[in-house]
Amino acid sequence: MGREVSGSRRLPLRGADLVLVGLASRYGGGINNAILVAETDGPVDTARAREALSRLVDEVPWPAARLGRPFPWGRLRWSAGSRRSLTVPPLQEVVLPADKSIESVVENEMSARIDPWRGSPTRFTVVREKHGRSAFVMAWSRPLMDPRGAENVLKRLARLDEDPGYRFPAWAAPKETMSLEEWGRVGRRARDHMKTIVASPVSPGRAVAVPGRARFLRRLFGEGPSAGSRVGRDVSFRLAVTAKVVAELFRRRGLPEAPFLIPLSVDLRRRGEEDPLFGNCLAFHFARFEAHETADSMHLAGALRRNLAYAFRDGMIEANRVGMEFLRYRPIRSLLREMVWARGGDAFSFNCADTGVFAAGLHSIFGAKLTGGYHVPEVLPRPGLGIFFSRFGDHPSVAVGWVEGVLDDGEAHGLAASIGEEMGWVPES
Amino acid sequence: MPAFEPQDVERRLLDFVNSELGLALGRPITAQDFLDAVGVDSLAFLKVLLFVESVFGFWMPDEDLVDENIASVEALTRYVCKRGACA
Repeated sequence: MGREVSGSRRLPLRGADLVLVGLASRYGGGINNAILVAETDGPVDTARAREALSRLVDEVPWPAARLGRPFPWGRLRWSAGSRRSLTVPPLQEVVLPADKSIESVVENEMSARIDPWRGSPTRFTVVREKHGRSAFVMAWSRPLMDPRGAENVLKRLARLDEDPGYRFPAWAAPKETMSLEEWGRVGRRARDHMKTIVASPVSPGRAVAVPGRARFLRRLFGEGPSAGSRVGRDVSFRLAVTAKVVAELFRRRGLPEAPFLIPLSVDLRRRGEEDPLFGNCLAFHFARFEAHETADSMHLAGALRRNLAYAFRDGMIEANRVGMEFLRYRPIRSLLREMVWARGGDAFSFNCADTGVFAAGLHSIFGAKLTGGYHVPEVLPRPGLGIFFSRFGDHPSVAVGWVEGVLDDGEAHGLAASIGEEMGWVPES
Repeated sequence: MPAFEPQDVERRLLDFVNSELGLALGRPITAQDFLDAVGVDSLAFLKVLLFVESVFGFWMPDEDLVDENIASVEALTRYVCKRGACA
């Protein structure tokens, strides 16, 4: 089912991709599956979804541009034959027995490793519970796309379905404005900065490194009385709240109090744009703080906010983007040398993400009305814990992902409930 | 720090929001637009905080980051003036 794609353009890879690829390599082929779940009022029309996927590889330049590029990944295997020939990603339909829920499908998707070197980097599932809910689940290999990029794919699939005559506008990556010399200066600065902030191990270290099956749960909330406060909608506050709850968990577990290091991703896409950038368009800010600082969320949030703002002002976000880009020009072996924090086996203290409103502007997909949507947190190899904030309409939600053995079910429920409580949200069933 | 006219505060804020935040609304943002609704997320808003600090001379404290003060450029203008930036 190969399809010739013409007029493909090469879109930029981000160095952050390689950090993740490097981690996967370091841990012997770890799982980097990322997942989004679009909940619907009924089952989506599978035939229409299949047709839209087919048109995606036919008519949208991104998949061919992204996946036909051999450097630095090596040849990816979405191609059935020649480099410019793509297969339609797999789409399966699952009707669940009465004792299974959509969440069980999501957990399977988390644990069944997507290997873009051996198969399609994305896969789709139409899920229907025996008596009730339906969902459209998209799973992909994380370095290929960030969560916002995946939302853009979803929106484009819906557009392809609704408007057979629609033609995607031409798009080209913006030109680099810095000279090579400037790039070098800024990139070295970022690299030095990274080495400074990761000079010592980050919590929780090896104590929770238990390879196992990926687990997941989500809790839905309603807005509380503090809905008018910008602080509550601020990424710094969410990170502070999450850090507080995770620090309490680590303390209960008796883990040593090591500093926290959390990557804060900064989306480089233009705001409010129906964007053609499906791929990975993130730069990073690295938040570092001590475990005892998590006791006062408001204070920590203020410090993180100011720190992030000054990183913008001082060009550190841009420097980190460039620093990450630098990594991509190095072999994986030297990449690991640069990632000093990964040498001891630790990546980050935990993974915390937030994309704001889920697929803004999307109301239906393949004939079904959208009733909810959320992202599932990646479970990085170590410590194997991720938290993802999503929002659909007036309903914020918290998804917790973990590697079996890192948390038990009760702790995961407690984590989500405590985060909701700290955020001032009202639990919903 | 020079004292500003309220119209001047509003104009500077609008110029900044329209030119520096990378918004793609397809039209200029007005003083009455809700910043959340036009795509000013928390990271973009940090740039607004930095702009306020550099031009009007103060960092907005956390307790003031409520919709009443920051929902729109109009609200932000009122707040900046209330903080003593206006003549």
